[in-house]
Amino acid sequence: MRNLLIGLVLLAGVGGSAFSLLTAPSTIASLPAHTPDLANGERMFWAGGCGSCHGAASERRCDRPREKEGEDKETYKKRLAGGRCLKTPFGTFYAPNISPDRETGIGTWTAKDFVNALKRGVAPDGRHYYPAFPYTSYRLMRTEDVLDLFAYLKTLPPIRARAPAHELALPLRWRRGLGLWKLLFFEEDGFRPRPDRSALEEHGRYLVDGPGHCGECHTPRNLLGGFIKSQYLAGGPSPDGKGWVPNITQHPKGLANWSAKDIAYALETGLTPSFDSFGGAMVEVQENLAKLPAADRAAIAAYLKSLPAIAGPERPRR
Amino acid sequence: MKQLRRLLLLVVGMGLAVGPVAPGLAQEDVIKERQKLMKSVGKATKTMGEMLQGKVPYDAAAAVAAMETIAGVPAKFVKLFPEDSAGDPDSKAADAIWEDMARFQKLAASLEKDAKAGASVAGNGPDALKGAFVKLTENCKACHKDFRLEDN
Repeated sequence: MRNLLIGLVLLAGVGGSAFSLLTAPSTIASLPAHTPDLANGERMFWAGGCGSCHGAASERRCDRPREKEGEDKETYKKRLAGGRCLKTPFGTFYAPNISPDRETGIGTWTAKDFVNALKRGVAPDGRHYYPAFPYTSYRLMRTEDVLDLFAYLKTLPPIRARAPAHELALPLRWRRGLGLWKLLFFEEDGFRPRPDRSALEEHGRYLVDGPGHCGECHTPRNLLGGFIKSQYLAGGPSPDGKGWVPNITQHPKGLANWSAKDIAYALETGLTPSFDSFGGAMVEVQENLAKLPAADRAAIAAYLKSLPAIAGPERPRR
Repeated sequence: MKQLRRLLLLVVGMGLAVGPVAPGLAQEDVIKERQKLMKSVGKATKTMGEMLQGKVPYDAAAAVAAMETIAGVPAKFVKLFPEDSAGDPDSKAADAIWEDMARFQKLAASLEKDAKAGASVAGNGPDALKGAFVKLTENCKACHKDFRLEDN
């Protein structure tokens, strides 16, 4: 009996250590020497659409960030006070303050903190981030681009505001468990060049898969919230449960009938080839992408045109 | 039955001319009517867009007519959202419309204003049309962003 007990304790110990090892956050220890390029940082800011989630929520709790009455459509995206919510099957996430405020934002963060947040999904205090923050895509960003983005964010106005805490079911509040999720669905690899592709397509692939994090909405997810990789960019139910995100592969139900020019035009203007307009979250995305040089939109279009035709999940009959 | 529906549509049509939709109007009919109106906006937008893309030659009269078509829609459109038509699976209208009807109507008024302004300049050449077109289509996005279910 006693032996059994000791055995059990030992087993629990081994199991616990294994679990601890498996779920431990992994971080980047050193950074390359780099002089930040603010213009490129701003480009990454628009490519990544930071302001569309982290911009200050408008008057109503949980709202999408939006311009104030009579304000332009850019300024509010630079007020990075957070507060906008993302309603998901796992609960409600609130985007945190990423303005340079020292108390409630990222004002005291080091460059390494920032790189670990974006490329590893690990907070400065060593805890895992929930993948509502799309580090699952940002991991592909070049470290230099991340450093430029960090330098650019530092130039934006500090705002003192604490975003509400996430509202999640109990087991999900335990962040260490995210280590297991990461084991299943997160890879730490950076962007791997594909020599078989043209430079334009490669640039587009970088923007789409990395900073642009298009797959976060356009790729269907399994029950645990991981990408269904075989259906990358093939569309699926909208993350908030209402509506449908379209297939953007070359499938007939996707962008097969859109020319590269059509895609670039839509990203610039928000108008589809049939002159319908974008709606929902894509309006924000498009207006962010419209700030990029035309060559970036052309690259995105070239990459999307190079994708195979992949059927996405069947859309339920309306 | 068919006749009854026609009669209903007629009643709707008359109702539109004078004020809010009569209560008790069949839900699918308001939805169809909304969709018809939006289709007409899309078609008019395409007419102008293709001129600006150089796919068809600039045509002053057609551009003005397109702007006028669009200008005629918002006032009719906003009256087609009775409370009991919310949440219909055949419709892409988001619940946000009924939660913030005031803002929805404001955006419709903005579309009307920009389309009317557009109609007065669209005949002055492609550059004038382009400026008005860009301004006009901002309204499409502003409204679809919050008030149309995601599906594009």
